[in-house]
Amino acid sequence: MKEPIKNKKIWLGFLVIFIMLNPWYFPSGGEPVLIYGVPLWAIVIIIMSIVLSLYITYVIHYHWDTLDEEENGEEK
Amino acid sequence: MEMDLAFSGMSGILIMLFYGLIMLGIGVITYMKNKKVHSSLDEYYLGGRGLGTMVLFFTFFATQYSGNTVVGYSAEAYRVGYANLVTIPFFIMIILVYLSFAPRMYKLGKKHNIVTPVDWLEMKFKSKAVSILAAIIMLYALANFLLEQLVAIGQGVSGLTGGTVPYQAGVIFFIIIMIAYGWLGGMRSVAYTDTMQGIALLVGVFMLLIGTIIYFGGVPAAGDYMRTYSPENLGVPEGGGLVRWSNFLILVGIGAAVYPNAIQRIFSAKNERALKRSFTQMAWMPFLTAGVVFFIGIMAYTAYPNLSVEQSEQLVGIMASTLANQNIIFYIAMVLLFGGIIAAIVSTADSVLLTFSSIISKDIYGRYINPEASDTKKIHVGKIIGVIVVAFLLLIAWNPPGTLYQIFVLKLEILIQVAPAIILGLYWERSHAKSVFTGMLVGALVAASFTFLGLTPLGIFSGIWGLMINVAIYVGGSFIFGRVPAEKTETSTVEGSPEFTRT
Repeated sequence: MKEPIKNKKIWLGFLVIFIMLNPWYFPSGGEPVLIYGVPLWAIVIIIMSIVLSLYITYVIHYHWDTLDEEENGEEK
Repeated sequence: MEMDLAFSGMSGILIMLFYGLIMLGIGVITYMKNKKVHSSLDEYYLGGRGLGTMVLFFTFFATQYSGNTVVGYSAEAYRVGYANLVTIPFFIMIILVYLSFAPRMYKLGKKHNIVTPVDWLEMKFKSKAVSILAAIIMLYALANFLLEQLVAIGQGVSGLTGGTVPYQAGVIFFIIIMIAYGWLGGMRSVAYTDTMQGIALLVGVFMLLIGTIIYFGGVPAAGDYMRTYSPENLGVPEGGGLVRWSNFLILVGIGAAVYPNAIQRIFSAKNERALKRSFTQMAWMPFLTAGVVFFIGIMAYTAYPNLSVEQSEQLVGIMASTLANQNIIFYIAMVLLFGGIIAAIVSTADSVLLTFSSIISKDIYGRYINPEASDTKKIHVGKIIGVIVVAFLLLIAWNPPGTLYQIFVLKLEILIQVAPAIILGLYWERSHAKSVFTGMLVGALVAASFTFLGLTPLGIFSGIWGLMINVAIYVGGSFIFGRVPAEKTETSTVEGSPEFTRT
């Protein structure tokens, strides 16, 4: 039986991603750097959002398995 | 501002009728296929705990994304620019918060026949005070959420048809349809209509994106334009903006995950696999919804540079009308979009109403007023009270109170105060019912009073202040007064499944 909540390492990962999801680490002011019209910091945030979705997908797939009643027999 | 709307006149009315009849049809078919739906709470409120991946996904989708996501968020992006990009990650955060409790909540729900989140709290804390307070908070938040949807239906219908369908007529029409299909098939009807509504919205938004890129210029053009005329909308959120950003991630992430109607969908899953798959898909939806909508708002910059706040609220309507006038393909696509936006509001409203009724049926009427009643009777009472509440909310929607307006805006700030009991209660055996109650009560009061007084010390949202105080009382009190029953701890270590050990 695997529950995401019990795995501390998973939450460490989420914490790191959460910290990076807040745009505190960009230099303030100055001319915005645009890439195809999108500010660089926004691109980084979008990439971090994708990382979060990827990580959620990974955790659901590999770290959540508590077995359903209909499939189990020796659920422990 | 006067706009020549493509859907004014007969075509607007026909579109509304068409969508309404499809929804009603789904309700009737669902009822024909499941005539026993009114025999038990499980059947009516949880679709017999049998929703498969696709339907489950769409019902989560429709519950989370409302018409406001399209109409309001694009206008917001237009006004504040890239600071509003936070809407993408905050929708993903909701799924992250689900991961902290849904796996166990699902198992417990199946094992103990839990129907509502209050059921779970009652089982865990065995405290009338906790259950009733949580039920009141949830009903209050749900009612406000419902009110917001009712207003949105009316505005949506009258706005999108250029006023041909008056506000009141639009609301009444869709409410009758919504109540009719909800009554006929319960959760199944709601989930099946959610599927149709979700598909219409996704297709419509996607076509709006394509049209925007073709006819209004793409993102690069918008970026250049903003750099010249409003560079502040391109900048990184700093100081207060940064605090707001992180507060949004937390408030929406936790608040939207503990919406009672969202939690009920966890119980409705057919099996764990369906639940896992729906969550995985949901983790990617923010890019297709909030993300697309955000960029539509940004791209509107070049085509409509100087809209006032009021005008910008109609941004989607204006853009869609312009696109619909281009050619027949976009006309059809915008029909889908308009219908999809209305459908998305209706589909959010229907799930809120159903959950509202379920808390009345199970937690208020069924637990305290008439515990001997049959399930059919409980469902009946839940339905009737639901309709009465809708009628009451309609009165408010049409005569918005000027002074007490904020009472009807409070939602997430208050609702988030039940999160510690629901989530922490799952894992922490030491949880002490009286401390849980006190934390929830004080948290809710703090959140409400800060909101009314407009207090946001340090720039932190009132709901987050309430939550911090709430958790402090919960945790502190439980450390001092809480007990871990000795024999039960043993069972938990032996069996390795702590859900058997409820205090």
